[in-house]
Amino acid sequence: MTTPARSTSAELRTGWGRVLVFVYGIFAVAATGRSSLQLATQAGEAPLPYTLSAVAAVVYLLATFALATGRRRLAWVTVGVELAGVLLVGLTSEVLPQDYPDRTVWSDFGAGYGFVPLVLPIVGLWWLWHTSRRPVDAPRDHAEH
Amino acid sequence: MLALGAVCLGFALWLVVEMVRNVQPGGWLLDGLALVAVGVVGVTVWGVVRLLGDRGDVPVGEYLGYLFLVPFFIPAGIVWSQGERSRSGTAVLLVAVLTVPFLMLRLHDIWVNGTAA
Repeated sequence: MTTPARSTSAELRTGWGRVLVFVYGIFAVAATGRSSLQLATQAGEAPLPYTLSAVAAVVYLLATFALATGRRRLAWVTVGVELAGVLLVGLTSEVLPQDYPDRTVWSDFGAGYGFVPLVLPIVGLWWLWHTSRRPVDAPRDHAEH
Repeated sequence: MLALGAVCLGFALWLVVEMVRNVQPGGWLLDGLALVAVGVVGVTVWGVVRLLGDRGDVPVGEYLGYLFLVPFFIPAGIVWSQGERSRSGTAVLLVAVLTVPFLMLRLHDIWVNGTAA
């Protein structure tokens, strides 16, 4: 019998979720370091981009925490906010470049990071959806996820 | 710096092969990654020493930020991948190893742009 049901919280960080958490962790550390440095040394030069960098850092930190600890609701919110952020900042940085004297991690849809910032929340939302639909008694062969 | 990045790309290729074969990394591969991690620490020390010389307009904070961040990725990848003995665990190592050349290239660009100014 394969009754669809909510999977355990640990499912979020197992299988390919392990890779997702690691990538989120990298972005959390990188974005936190970048925004801390920008705000500490050049806050007045480009307030909007540097504030957005700080927001991105907080979002990545929370998303990493949520995925690594299986807090599904928080993960949905943070990854959703991340996707909205990268789309909004990506669009406005193209349309209103004068408001962005310096780049953020989400500028130009994350082009400076190989568009990983754009792809990551889409993969994250897919992973959250995928793991919430997994049948309870399905074999957990991580190698084939 | 760039040479070490190239070595990392070689290991990345090796990891892709192991993923396709669905073989868990071990032995020579993990020993090699440990050596690369030591090499990255060496590059970090060299990068700091280089700052003591003619550094032109290199943004020191940004440069040091990347420099002190890069040694952590491979060890973190090895530790995090140990909890997943599958292709996914190997993929974690692949991400960790690919992050190093990306950051090495970033460091190289920061240095070249700063000293050329």
